[in-house]
Amino acid sequence: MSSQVVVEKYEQIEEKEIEQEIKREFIKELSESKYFLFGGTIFFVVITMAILAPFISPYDPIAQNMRETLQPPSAKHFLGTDPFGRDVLSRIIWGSRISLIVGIFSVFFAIVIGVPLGVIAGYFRGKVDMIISRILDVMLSFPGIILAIVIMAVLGQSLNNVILAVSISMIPRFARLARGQTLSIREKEFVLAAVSLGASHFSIIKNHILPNILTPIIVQSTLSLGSAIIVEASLSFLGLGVQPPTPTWGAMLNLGRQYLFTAPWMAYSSGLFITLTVLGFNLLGDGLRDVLDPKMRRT
Amino acid sequence: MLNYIVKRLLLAVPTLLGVITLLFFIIRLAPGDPVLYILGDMATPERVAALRKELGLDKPLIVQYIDFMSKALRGDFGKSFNNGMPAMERVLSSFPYTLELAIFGTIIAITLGLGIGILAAINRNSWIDLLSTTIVILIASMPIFWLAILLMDFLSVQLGIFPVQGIGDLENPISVLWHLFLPAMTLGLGMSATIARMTRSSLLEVLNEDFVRTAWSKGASKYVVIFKHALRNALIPVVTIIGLNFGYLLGGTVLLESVFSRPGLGTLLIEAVYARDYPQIQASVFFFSLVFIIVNIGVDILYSFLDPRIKLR
Repeated sequence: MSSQVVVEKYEQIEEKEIEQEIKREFIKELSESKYFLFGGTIFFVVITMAILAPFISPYDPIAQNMRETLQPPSAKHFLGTDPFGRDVLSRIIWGSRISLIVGIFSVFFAIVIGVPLGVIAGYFRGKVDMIISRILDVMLSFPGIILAIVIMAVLGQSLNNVILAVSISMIPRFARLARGQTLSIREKEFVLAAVSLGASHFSIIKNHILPNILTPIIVQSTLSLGSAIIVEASLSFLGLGVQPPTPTWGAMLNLGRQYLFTAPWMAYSSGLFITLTVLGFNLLGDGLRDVLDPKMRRT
Repeated sequence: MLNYIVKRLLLAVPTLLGVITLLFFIIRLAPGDPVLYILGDMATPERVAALRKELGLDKPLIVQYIDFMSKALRGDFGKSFNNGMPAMERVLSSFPYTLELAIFGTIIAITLGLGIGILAAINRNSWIDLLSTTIVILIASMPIFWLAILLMDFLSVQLGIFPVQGIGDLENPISVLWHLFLPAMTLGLGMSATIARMTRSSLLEVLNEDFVRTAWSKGASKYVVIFKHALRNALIPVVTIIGLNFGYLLGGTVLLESVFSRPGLGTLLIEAVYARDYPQIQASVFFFSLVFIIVNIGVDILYSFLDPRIKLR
């Protein structure tokens, strides 16, 4: 074996070891982050609840029982019943599905559309950047919830339209983030080296830009999940979300506030679940940010 | 400075044109015929044709667009389908209610946010810091309408201190303020979370700077160091956060007006959405974004006062 080959082998082994060491360090830091663990636990509970809804829900969430309306919490109905005699706990469990589906899909679509827009604007700059940035400015000149309200007003109430409305209201934040990150990465020496070696734009974006802007996007997407759930709940609360009788936490809160004097359990249980879920995502995002991006670590 | 302000204002023009364009096209995406929606399915073809002509819907799209744009720039969005009043007139008469809520909400948010942030920063790692951080994280995770319901239940329903709903007797300023307090408090509390968080981290960063150390070494008192030297510099990012959160504030007014049954731009928009009153939706949303754009320009200008380096960029 020539000495050249031996050196290369050693280098490969070393690289692998470094990679493993980084992974170990990352997992260790994550497992030590209280924010991440607490947020992760809430996330795990909510997602389990959503997946297992048909098995763990004690009653049919939309079955009305007019003989058991507005029952306070009891052994039969842990979180009481609503004015239609529906079991609040079952509706909370099924409602988690809508919150998570809207949260996950809308953030996913916002990333799929927003990130390429931002990367293209930041990478090519010039006129392309100007056009994309002006479009984003227009989208950003509507407060998020108002943009979502208008979209729902135009398209009508359905789960798909809620996802669309929430995605559109979230696109600018991902596009802005990706643009800013790309602008700074494209000036780095390794990108300039790839350009001088004749790499194509596609290859530079795929191999050098995207991997390097991934961290802030992952953090942002976790934090955005919480915001998406709040926007969905706000739309449902205003009666513009998914149509009844599908259980959603926002609509339950809206119904609950009308019975705040006589049956506060309805408003309290749905409000608490929204807050806990959003808190979980926010803490998860904070924990991830602390570990992935030490510069951003809270002072 | 004047150049900067002019440049900032000019940049807002294409954004505003974009907003009007979006409002024009987005309404055209709506399923169904708005004319049939207004007149109902039983309307005679003659009436449908007459209304279509009156609304200009019989013209080619490009003509409709130019017509819409030129009228919108003059603030004319047509008449509300609901009651036949000019849509912008209704917006302008509703806006003062939203404005008072937004102003009082912002004042409460800044007072609470700065107060909590400063307290947490100067008592870093103490129980005060821990308590305020926990409260801030919790509030930041609460939808504003849920916070409103909690405060309403506690302060209005249980303790009976504040009225549950409405705007009070308009002839009596004390009654108006009394009715405004709870919605403004909710808005302020909701927004104060981010301000407190930013104030804390920004102040902690500034407290480590050389000029603050110099101030300490000169023997300046704690009060002078924090309020005279550190806070002014720490305020720069805080102002940005307040500007960025103005969208939250406007969105919050829509939800709070609904919870507290207050009149205002948000209530007008939601009613228009329920009734598919398109001119009213367009006028209300246009006005919301106009206010949002103006406030953002204001924040940018304020920012350049606080940090003169900005103008040079």
